[in-house]
Amino acid sequence: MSKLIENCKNGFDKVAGFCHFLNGKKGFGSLISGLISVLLGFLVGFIVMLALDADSALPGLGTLFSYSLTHNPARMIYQATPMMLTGLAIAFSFKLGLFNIGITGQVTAGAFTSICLGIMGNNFFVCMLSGILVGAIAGFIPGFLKAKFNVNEVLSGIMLNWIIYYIIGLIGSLGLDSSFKDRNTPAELINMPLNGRMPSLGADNGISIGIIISLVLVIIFEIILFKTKFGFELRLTGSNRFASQYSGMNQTKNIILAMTISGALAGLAGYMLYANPLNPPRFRWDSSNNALISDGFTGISVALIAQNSPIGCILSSLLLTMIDGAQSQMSTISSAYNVHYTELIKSIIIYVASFSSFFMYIMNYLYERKENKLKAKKELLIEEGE
Amino acid sequence: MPSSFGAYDWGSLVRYFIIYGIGFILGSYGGMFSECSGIINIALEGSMVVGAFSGVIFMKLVGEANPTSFLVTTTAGVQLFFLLAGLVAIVVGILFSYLLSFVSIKLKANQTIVGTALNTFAVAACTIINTSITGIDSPEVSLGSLSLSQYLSPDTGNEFFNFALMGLNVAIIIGFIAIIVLWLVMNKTRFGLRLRACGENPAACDSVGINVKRMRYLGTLIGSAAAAFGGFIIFSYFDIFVGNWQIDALGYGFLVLAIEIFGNWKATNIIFAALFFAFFSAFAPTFTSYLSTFPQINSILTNRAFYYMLPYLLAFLSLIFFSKHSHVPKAEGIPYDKSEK
Repeated sequence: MSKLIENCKNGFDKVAGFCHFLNGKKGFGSLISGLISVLLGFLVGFIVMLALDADSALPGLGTLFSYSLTHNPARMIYQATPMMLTGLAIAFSFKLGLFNIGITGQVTAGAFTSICLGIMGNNFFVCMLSGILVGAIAGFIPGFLKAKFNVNEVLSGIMLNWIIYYIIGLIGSLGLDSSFKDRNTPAELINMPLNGRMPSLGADNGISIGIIISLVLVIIFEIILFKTKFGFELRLTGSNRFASQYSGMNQTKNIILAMTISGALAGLAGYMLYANPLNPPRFRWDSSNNALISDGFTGISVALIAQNSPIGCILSSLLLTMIDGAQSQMSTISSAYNVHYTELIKSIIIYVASFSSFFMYIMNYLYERKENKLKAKKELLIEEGE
Repeated sequence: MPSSFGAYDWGSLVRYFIIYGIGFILGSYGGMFSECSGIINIALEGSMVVGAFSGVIFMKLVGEANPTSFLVTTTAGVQLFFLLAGLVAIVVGILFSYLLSFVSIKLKANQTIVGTALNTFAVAACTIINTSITGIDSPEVSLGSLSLSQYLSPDTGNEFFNFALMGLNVAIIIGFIAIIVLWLVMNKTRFGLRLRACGENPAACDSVGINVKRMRYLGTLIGSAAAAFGGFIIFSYFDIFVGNWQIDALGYGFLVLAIEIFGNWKATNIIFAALFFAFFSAFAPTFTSYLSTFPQINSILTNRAFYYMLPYLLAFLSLIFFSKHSHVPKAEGIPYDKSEK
């Protein structure tokens, strides 16, 4: 028994040491934190599955991981494309210590504008630019209010989400010509016509130029954040506002710029969501169902799982679309697993991610305590030897 | 077809005003208690969802298991039933608060993120529980089979009062009493003063022997329980009389946050702010349903989206105008650490 405890202790020490080692390497500490939260999310999800229907839990978990990869990897990639950008938008604002929860409104505004312009017959480039522009304006507002009036960006963002949502409802019912609306389903706008969709990359599987744009943007933002003066100012302001103020950095400019850029990314994501060359979803303009589109909030999950690393957003958005792809398949395995099941896993992952840095802190602390003890022992031995 | 704004419309305006008013004050008091203690509570939406869901599902399970019980067949019994369901909502709200307070206080997590996660979690968990209970893959919890509405429609002989008091139940009255109690606790007791102090300067509180962490646990607990009860009041009405409540707080959890800021974290101001917002929320459905009897008018003033947007727009503008005078609790959102000064 005591041997077992000893073994466990040794193993734990090794894990702590490994975590400490990785923490020293740039980026790996957050990788571990992200992995911990994902694993815990799946663990709790698995426990819920066991509680609901124990017999189908294992095949259910298998489906969650494998279905998208084996059945429709192309869909996984094209759905991850806008998600990457929403994640990037959130991560970018997080670097400054701002939580751009208004991203839902920015995505919605960008999507609505670009679809309307698409229906008017504009090409994909014009539609995309309009989405970016409107998203940037919607992101500028909370940024400006934060910088000039010190209005909490979370609250102004939440309010703006609903305001934009109802403004679209108003425009839809009053200002839009009926040719814009799908006659079969009055509650929805007609989806993006072919002229406004993103050009496909050869094969007709839905993968478009969007994935290239997203990947390039992720890399550009990684460079901006870690290799430029602007990025350094952002990160310093995020980690120590007073230090950056003291050293003469223009906080007002940085806050407004960061939120505007974040909004622009969100607007671009809004365009991409509805402009996929293969089966783009329909946009609901009618605000009767009192529900914001969820794609903006998904960006928060993406960024949190990625621990705000732009490159990490690629991986975490792929992970989330992998889970989403299996969503419809889950109910065929057991009637107990419904659509909200994947939402549950996602929310637990975010929940754990919010304090996963605490795990790293504990691991580091334990490692350092052990090291200090060894050091003290050594010194004691040396003293005795003398 | 009513040709003027008659007794029915005035009655429903008053009815919605009472229900929203009590619900919003409770919800924003929920936010006030936790934020004054120093914990940002974005999860009010989640608290409202779990409170409403647990109360309603309790009524559904008990009512359908005992269809002949006096709880669902007499007027007094139905009122008692509401009392019990309200208690269930409060207990679940308290349990839910630990999901926020434990990680925020003990594990020093980012409170905004935890709140965001909990909002998603609440809806997902309640829907999964609902599905596993009813066996139907739908977020709708219907109390229609109990036909409780007949016991909640008093006949006063006056048409206006009939519509105004429809759906009035003991939970609403208790909610009213709870508001008075919470007001007194916040303004007139030592506990309330200490709670505020913990949100302003936790280190000073600690130095005079106040247990900051305990106060924060309590603040979040009271806040979440109040919001859960408020959610139960609003959505149990929706479920019984409007009949299509799906597990969702319709953004009211965020609206009460705005009310709390509009009321400047002060118990009295919050009451007026909440009544102001309750009026607009009550006005939108009644007035637009009245206006929909004139299909020839189609302008911005007859559009329901406009009236639904108004409270949010006003909250947004108030955020800007009152930003100079706002008394945000200074230590809000910062985990308290004894070793830091």
